Amino acid sequence: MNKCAELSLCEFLRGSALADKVTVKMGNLLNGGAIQENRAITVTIDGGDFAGTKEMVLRTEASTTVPESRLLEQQFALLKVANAAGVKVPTPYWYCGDPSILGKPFYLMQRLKGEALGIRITRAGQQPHLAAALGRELARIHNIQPPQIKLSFLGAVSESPALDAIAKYRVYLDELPEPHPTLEWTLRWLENRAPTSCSTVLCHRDFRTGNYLVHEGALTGVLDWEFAGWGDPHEDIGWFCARCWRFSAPGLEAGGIAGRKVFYNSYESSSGRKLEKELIAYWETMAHVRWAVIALQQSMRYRAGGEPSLDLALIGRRLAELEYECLRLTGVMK
Amino acid sequence: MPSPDGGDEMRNRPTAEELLQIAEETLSNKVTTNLPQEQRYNVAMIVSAIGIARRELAGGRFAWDGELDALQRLYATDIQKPAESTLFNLSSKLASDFRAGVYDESSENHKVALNILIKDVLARLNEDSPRYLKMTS
Repeated sequence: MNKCAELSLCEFLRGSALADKVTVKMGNLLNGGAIQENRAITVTIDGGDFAGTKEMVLRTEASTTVPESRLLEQQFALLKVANAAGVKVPTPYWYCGDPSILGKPFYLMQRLKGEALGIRITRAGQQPHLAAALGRELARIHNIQPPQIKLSFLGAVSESPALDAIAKYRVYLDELPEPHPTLEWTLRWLENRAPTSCSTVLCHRDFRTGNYLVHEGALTGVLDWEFAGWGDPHEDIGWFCARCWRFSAPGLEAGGIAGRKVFYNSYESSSGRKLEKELIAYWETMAHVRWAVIALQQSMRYRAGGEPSLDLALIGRRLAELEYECLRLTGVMK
Repeated sequence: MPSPDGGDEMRNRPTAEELLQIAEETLSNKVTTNLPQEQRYNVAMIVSAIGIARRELAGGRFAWDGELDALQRLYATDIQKPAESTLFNLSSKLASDFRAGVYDESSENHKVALNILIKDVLARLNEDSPRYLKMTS
């Protein structure tokens, strides 16, 4: 960030915090956030209610995104609603949509302690307490139900989130340059078995290992709200348990950190909702198609020349893993 | 001029594949261990990219050599066009047939079509992520 942008940012923060003076010290880019850019920032505030030195994250929109990703302003609104509902999330501070400050929208939130990288978290082996904490946290998220005036941008509640998802993923596949027969097979399989939804809740839609922070074995916060929307609660359960998010511990079916039972039990007792195994299996299959489609879109961000990122380039080569799981879950392969 | 080991390679040794292999091993075994934590992730990605490129080079033109034949048998075609465009067209037809429900019912063609998916996915998995199958089994 150049000096001019840094001064503009300080001035924005001074106004937002109703402070006398604000200085910032820019830190490293943080891992994760393949779409948005997250940078550590230390903010020192003189005067006003926020006085003191705070460790924050500056989140800005990337130059290219994927279609499912919500606008930064909407992500900020989701974070505020989740925070108000008692979900463990970074405290959201201020959003700025004025491009004259940093050239693109951004917001600031609390920088929580902890590790987010899935590969490191799953190396610790069985973590039933963490899985139980995540079950409770997901129940809290699912307690947020429509209507919510502050989330009006999420649109109307669908009668069939599954059929909506299938239609959306087919549109995305049609926009890609190559055919994907395995994904088409899986979407057809899902279409033929689409459930009618049992209840509608706020789905995080990226609730999985790699998107929460763990500090000294304890959950400190749920991150990355860019895909959230109204949906079937089983969708988040299936996503969390999907093989693609177990990293180095495929045998630990709840996010690579524990068996399913401890996660399901914690969720059920906290939410008062009985989970249906068939629906979880259905949404787990959908999870692999969805991640495959997003991976292809992410890869296109690299292929189309917008983002020179090895991370994005490699995501496209994850496809075979996801298709393998699709074939296994639809019974084509053992 | 024949190569010293009796082959008819005109290129110098080590080959592109061999160079990629030693680059991958050096990064993985010698460079990564001396790096700060935040750079290890980047090097792990570079190692992964080199490995995929090396296996793809070694594998030749297609991940699964039999794919075009299998699709031509399924659709009873024998189009004498460049293999890539024919493969693209037949693979597109397979994809749209799945979407249209052509292979919903169990039949001989249903079995053949699904078998094409299995072989294609396994071949690409062996190129892109050979460790995945070992971790899964």
